[in-house]
Amino acid sequence: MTECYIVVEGAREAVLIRQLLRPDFDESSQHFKIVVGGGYSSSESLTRSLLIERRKPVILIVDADSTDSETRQQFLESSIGHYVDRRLWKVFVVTPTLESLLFSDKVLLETLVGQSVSEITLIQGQYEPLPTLKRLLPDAENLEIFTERLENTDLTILHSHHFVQELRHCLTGFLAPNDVSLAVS
Amino acid sequence: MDSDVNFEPVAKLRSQLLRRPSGSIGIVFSRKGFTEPAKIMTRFAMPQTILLWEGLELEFALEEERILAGLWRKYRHAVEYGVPDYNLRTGELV
Repeated sequence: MTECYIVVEGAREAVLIRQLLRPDFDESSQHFKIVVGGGYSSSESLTRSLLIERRKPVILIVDADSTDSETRQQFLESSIGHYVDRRLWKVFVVTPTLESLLFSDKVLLETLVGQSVSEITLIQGQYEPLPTLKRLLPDAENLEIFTERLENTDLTILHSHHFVQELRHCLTGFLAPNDVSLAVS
Repeated sequence: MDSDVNFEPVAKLRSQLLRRPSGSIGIVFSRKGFTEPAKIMTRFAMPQTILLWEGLELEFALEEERILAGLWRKYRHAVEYGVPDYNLRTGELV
């Protein structure tokens, strides 16, 4: 039985989060599920609906789609917090998008794309991750290829990234047995 | 539409509902989704009931041929929790 949900915007984000959580967290052996929301708007409504209906913890991970994460963070905190106890959900707004994590380390990126990458491209990727990734990896649109490449890349170095650390900490807390019951207001 | 639907259709529907019997329901469909102002306005439109359908839940309801059942579920959640954009895909997740 699923004890916790992680809602992400798209299929590529789901693959990335799955790889970032391995090997310590695995959907097949632990009671959590990564769910594709299908865009920002749907992810937000799905998170709230899951919390209200299933009364299980939910982690929502969305892109800021800009360099300002505060506006979205405030909206989501208010939109979900108005209905559900804050102890049972957590929102992560990643600036500018989740794929920017792949540009945190040069060696990691070079392994992923299978070519050497300049410092300028690395910095460019931190601000414009999607266009840069598409340029370096034209077949990244193909989910199977992207998944295969990610599986063959060691993402361990990203475990020290503050977002990944916080996500893992949060998931550990939600999966640990506790007696927190969900209050829907 | 390729972008999220903004608050204008919600505002228009709300003013239509103000001239209808109180039990009337308005529905806005969007394949992509809704902007934050559209969602906020829908909540503030209560007690005029405007239900939002978006993205993958539309696909889910059409494939499962459960549009009517979905409408009842959305309406029930709007009544019970004041949520105008209950997402039907919770039903497919175990």
